[in-house]
Amino acid sequence: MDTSKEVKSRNSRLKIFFKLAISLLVFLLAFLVFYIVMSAFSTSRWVKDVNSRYSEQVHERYDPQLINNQKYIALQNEIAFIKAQLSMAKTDSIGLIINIPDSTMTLDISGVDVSVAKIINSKFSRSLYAIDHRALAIMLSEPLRITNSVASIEKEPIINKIAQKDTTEASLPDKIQEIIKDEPVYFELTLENELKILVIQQEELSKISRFKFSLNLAVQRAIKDTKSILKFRLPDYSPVIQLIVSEKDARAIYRAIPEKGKTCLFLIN
Amino acid sequence: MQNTLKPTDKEGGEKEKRCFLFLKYISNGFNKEKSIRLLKLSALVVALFVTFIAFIYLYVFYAPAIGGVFVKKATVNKQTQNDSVTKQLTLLEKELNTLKTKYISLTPKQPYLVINTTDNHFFLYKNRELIREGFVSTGSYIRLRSEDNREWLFKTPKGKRTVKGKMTNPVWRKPDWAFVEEGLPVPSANHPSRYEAGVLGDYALSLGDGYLIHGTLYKRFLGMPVTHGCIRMNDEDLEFIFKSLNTGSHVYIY
Repeated sequence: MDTSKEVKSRNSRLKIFFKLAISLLVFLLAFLVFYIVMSAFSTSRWVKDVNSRYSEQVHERYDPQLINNQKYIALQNEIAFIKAQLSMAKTDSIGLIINIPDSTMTLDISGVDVSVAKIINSKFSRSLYAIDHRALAIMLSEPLRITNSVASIEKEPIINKIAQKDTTEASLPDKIQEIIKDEPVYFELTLENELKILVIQQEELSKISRFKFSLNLAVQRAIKDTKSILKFRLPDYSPVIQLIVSEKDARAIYRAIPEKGKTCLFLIN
Repeated sequence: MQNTLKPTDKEGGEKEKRCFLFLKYISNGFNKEKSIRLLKLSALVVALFVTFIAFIYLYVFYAPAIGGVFVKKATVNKQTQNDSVTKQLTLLEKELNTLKTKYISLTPKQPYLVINTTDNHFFLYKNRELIREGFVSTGSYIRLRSEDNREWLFKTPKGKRTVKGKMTNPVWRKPDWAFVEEGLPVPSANHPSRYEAGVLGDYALSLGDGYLIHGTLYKRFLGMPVTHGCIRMNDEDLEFIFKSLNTGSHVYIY
């Protein structure tokens, strides 16, 4: 049997453990709330930045009554989109055109649509709706450059081979097999203005691989944000446009677009 | 606590014996206070663990998105529609149509070829309509390294190219890598062993920089990435494309 002294000591240890656990939880909760508040400020700062950067370029040619007119906004957005495509067509490299109202992702070379993929589902950050219509139209009237990309597949599936010393022929089928791997395709493109395009293949080959890809992105962002928060600075905000396309299209698009390629966006009609 | 459970003599099998021993252990060893404390502690540890995982999950996946919920959507107003507004909207519509026409005119009416190097497929267009499609073989993405550290990457270049020339019954002038790959010594620039007839099919279209669209002896590999950068086609497709495209026609490779 335990002596009363032993029981008391055990109880007090349990109490200390319990108090510590509760304190830790409260601290974590407070930090979570702080992170959410900082994120909210960061989002509104991003919207303000975009508005002020592009609104300076607005030259009012039209009646002030037009500014918030729905039809005017739709026309302005469409004009901006075609202007961006025309600008992108001046180069001979491959560009990506994302048309949300039409649900298409197009690969374009010098103004020729070489491949059109159907967007099966799309969703995007609320902050993109918060940008002033004129600022959004101006921002998207030029193609946006891709600044970074992360993907579950390689851009170029390079196979290294050392030249043979004699004339024995290498087995060709093996080489082909190495190239045609059945990996799921997910990729994220970071554009100018910190816009992110997340492309996910429709076919759910493996939930684990998708989770691993999302977790990798989320952890990297969380680490970056935490560092900023600990220095009492607002974390960087990136609105995300998530697109779901077929595996075949996702693979062809990612392999086709150059590392620092250009993208035209048509978000809101 | 007195134990009242006993195995019956009649039914006393191995199974019953084991059950009896287990119940005896439970009834003798049961210490209410100790068990409750253990339960409390376990529950606390589990709760802590679950809360910690939930926190990590929220922190990593949802916290930044929750922050974005508080932004206000930009305003849109539907009502304004007077003569001046209508006039200006018409002007804007005209501007849009002009831009659309300009953009559409960038797609040539003349025949052009599109090559998909990921799926190893080709599409031939004329008057902006698809007139033929089929399989091709494109670059294998093999990086070949020779003993003397020379390197070649067998990939088909992407982007816009132009047909620079057309040849019938082409003869292949084997580059250095063709010898290195086969483990043969590299001959001099104009050595007769460099020239091989009949391997490129009946026709070839040059895309510049040594890249060709040509035929193949390895038709079973069409649809696969197996070439050294050239685009291989079957005989019928090659003949059709050779006759459709002219020097100066565009080839778009992605």
